[in-house]
Amino acid sequence: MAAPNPDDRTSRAAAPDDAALLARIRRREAAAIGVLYDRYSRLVYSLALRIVGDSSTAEEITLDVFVRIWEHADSYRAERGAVRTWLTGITRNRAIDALRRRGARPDTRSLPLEAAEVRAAANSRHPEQAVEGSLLKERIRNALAELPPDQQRALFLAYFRGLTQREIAEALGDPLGTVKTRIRLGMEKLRRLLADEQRMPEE
Amino acid sequence: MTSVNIEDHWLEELPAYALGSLEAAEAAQLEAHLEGCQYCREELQIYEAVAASLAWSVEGADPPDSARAALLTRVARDREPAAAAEPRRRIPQLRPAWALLALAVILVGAALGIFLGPSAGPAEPTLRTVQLVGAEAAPLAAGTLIISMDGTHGTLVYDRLSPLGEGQQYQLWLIDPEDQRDSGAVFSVPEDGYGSVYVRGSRPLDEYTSFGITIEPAGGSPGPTGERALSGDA
Repeated sequence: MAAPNPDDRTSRAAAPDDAALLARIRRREAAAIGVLYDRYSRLVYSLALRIVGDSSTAEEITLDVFVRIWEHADSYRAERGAVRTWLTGITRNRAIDALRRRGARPDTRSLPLEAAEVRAAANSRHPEQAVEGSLLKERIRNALAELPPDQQRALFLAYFRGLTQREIAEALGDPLGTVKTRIRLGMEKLRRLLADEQRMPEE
Repeated sequence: MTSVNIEDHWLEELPAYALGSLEAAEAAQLEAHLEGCQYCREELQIYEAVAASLAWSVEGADPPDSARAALLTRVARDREPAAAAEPRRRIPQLRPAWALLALAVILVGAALGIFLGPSAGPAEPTLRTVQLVGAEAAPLAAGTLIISMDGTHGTLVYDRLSPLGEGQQYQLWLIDPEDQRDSGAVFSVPEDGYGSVYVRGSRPLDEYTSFGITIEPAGGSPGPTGERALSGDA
């Protein structure tokens, strides 16, 4: 079976740059962390804001993520995935930690059922983020929109609220087995949809 | 294509693991399996990218400029651990609002003929500024200490300092070359974190080489005891 990586296509233009930037950051070039920041701060901040819900904590997390990259750029392993995936993982972990420290309990009713809340990123101050971000967002939004709502909701509760499958089952009052199935099917479908998109000719 | 015995793998759990939604005990078992299973590691990498793609579904928002400034300040500090030899009157790195203020001060100064005298001559009196950057208790805060032309007193302007509880206040420390600390001000911070405070020490301010702000019990302490919020060198 082919192993399509949703990072492949979109990062084709940016990947060498990202890897080169990380190499420069490892050599302690301050300008390189500035470029990486301009490229991904919007993604990092938006994700943190979505998870923690307040702008000052999101800003602290954003600063924390890039300081960590500055200090630990050598912990990135190119063979384990794209820089963007790594960066997103660090951000998500920090934000979920902040959420847990705060002791916030999930309010499942406030979760949007649809992913169509995403708008184009054209108003970013950084054109590079805006162009790449809007293309990728469109693909991901399209893919998410094809998921059944209960699968989408399970993925969102896991990813944005940091809930385990058991916690999701308790929060929604659904059997654990049902939640597990939704997560697995949702992720598999998202993988297929993103992989299908990859085969489309690039514009 | 290699044939894969599905039963040997953890394919059903990998998507949930990539989302961070397995229970701790299951996650530990899966991690033990991953150590010896190249196939599952590769599958996991794909699911991690799928999970990361969810981040891109979020409505975009730009972080405030202060985060970038704080990052670059932090990075610059790392790169120049011993900046002691810097000229005393270097132009400080300013945040945009301060840059505007500084520009206004310079323009007014120029109009009054204060600043822009012959550069080779003896130093003309100027309003000196010292930049304070956020420390562990307030990483996003910044401050500027403006010192009077005769060097005797000054005003501290700060931004993004969190208001403290009733029993605590911020205290500004004036640090001399022998590392002795004098109190320069004890102050509370308004809701929005922005404000100013008059600064005077037991000696003229231009005799001090460093400045620091710590969190102290209300009324101030004889010497710093709490976490640092801001610091900077003259």
